[in-house]
Amino acid sequence: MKINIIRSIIRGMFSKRTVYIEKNGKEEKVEKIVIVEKIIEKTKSMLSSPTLVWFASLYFFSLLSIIIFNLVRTGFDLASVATAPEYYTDLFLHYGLNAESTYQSKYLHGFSSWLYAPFVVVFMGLALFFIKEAGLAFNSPSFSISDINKKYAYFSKNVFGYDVVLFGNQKWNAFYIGQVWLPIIAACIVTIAYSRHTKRETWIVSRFFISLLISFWLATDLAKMTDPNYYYDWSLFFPTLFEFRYNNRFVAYNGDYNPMTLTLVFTFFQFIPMIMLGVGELAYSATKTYLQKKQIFKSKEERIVHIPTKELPWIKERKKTKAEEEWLDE
Amino acid sequence: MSSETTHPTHEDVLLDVRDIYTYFRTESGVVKALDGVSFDIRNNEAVGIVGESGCGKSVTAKSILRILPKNGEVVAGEVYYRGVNLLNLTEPQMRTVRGKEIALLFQDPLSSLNPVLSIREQMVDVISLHRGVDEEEAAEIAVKMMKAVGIPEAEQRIDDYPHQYSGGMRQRILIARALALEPRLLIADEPTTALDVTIQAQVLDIIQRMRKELGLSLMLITHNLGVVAENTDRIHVFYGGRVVESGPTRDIFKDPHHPYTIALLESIPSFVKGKGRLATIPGSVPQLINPPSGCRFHPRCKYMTEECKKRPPLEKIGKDRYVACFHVDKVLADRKKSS
Ligand SMILES: Nc1ncnc2c1ncn2[C@@H]1O[C@H](COP(=O)(O)OP(=O)(O)OP(=O)(O)O)[C@@H](O)[C@H]1O
Ligand code: SF4
Ligand SMILES: [Mg+2]
Repeated sequence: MKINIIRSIIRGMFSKRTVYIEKNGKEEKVEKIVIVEKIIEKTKSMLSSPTLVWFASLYFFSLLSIIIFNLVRTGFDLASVATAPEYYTDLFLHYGLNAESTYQSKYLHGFSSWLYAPFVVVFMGLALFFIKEAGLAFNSPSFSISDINKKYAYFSKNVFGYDVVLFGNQKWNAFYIGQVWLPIIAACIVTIAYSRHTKRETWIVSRFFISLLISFWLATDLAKMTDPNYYYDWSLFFPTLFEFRYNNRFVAYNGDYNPMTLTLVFTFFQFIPMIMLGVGELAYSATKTYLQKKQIFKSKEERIVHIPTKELPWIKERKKTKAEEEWLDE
Repeated sequence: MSSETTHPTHEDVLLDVRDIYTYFRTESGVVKALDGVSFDIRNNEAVGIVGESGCGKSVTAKSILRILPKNGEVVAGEVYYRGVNLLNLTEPQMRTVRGKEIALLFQDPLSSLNPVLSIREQMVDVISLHRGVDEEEAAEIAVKMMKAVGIPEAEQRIDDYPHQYSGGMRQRILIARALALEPRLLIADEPTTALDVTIQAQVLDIIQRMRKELGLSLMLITHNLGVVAENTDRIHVFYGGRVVESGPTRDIFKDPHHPYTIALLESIPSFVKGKGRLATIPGSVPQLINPPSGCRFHPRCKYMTEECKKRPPLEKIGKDRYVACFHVDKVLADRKKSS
């Protein structure tokens, strides 16, 4: 019985469907395998989803700002463009406890740095912007509260743009605004425009999981810098959840940076752009409705002319019923 | 009374819809459902409103009675009923019009009746409210009307519930309820579409008989041309939110002028004798967010020229006959040739 159901489901998936498509004005018969068609459909829809547009535009704008900042920092030449991702990845990865680490991230050089850098800057930058004392002192593995100087923004070195400050608040310096907030805002605008245009919503779950993956990537890299021998023992993933609480290498970590905590922290702060996007979408709809209303209802007020009820011909010729008297008293 | 509100019309004109525009706000933009609709209905006259699905027939009825959904609004135009512009009335004043002056009959009789109340409760309440009579008298009127629309054993059946009636019977009850209020105008929006053919004819017969007995006017909305031919004196043909042709029913069936009306009539099998095959109108119903410019029929019209990208006015071409087309002459010449 069960086998039959499974068999028929599988057969159904691989069955062929005849469809007619129009080619050069003529109808053509095409046989399509259902499962292949489904996969193609799903892939197409994923590739054009607002979630993907969000990450792609975030990536693009972040990379753009990295390059622009580096050009302004070093002066205009091609070498500065080429080393921009590397410079900023390095800057961020050496933040805090990793200030003196000599471990080199696998993704620091070459092609992978171009993929990695934009996410490092936005994900870490956003978290550092919100974490209260972060970035306000020269960092070292031995950090003390008295090192905090609210006038400066430091990573392992003085960051470019720290001295241009808005609202008298060091957190609002050109570095955070230009490299973190502007790319996020630009990506929000692009995504809102796209999702409203295609009438597809950003799916919060898929966005959450992609953010989680990127955060995990970043957190692992940071953890490895404090302990180069650190590795995830995947075979212990499930057992540690229930049994090996003391010697697990997965959930708890007693190095300096806990990769799991970092993953959660980075993912958590990614909810802020998600909320911005939601608010933006609402604002967009509200504005559109308002404009449409203005366009449609423009003449309504002017149009209303008050006529005394007793002048209405049908009221004149007969007496009002009780209900009508009640309505008209309103 | 303000001069804008009343206007001197032909004594005979009961309802005069003048150039109304009804728009809807939607996610994808503003839907221009009615784009300058004008027509009139006279005393004791049965008028048909015909056109393809989505051309704005129901929206016209809702605009007249001001029962449009929240996202819709009549943006411009006038609806004169007995010389009073209904669009100027306050909501309480409007309630003295609905039901008592202009009654509306919907396509789906079940959704207009409350399933948990007996027919008596649903009829007596409405009748006593609108006619100012006590419940006993209202019940008498209800039974009388039910008998008049052909419901047997009305005295007993009045205590039944809607689901105990058949579709045709339910529509009769709605007719009885509407007419018990003695309206002057009955707007019937596809009153028989949900019913099967033999019942359709019976219900239409009842509407016709009652109309003659009570001397009311009828605005019959339908896409069934057969129904229109048998039940109306005049018709207004709608296309894409406008009236494209109007005139006495017999004249229009015999001698249609507008290319759309011709296409519509050719789609009835019996109309083109000998062909024996249902002609369909090529092209699709215009979408109303970005409608075709000028004559809205131009993407589907074989007489189309550059001029048709301007809006053709609804012009008088004979007694009671109006048509909105730039190339009526060409169309007529063509028809003569082929026949
Ligand atoms: N509530 C609404 N919101 C947006 N658009 C609407 C709304 N109601 C109607 N419309 C639009 O107005 C147009 C006319 O609709 P209407 O219901 O009057 O068509 P109809 O002629 O009665 O067709 P049918 O024969 O299908 O009943 C349609 O294009 C429809 O999309
Ligand atoms: S105005 Fe032009 S497009 Fe419109 S119906 Fe007449 S001929 Fe056709
Ligand atoms: Mg309708």
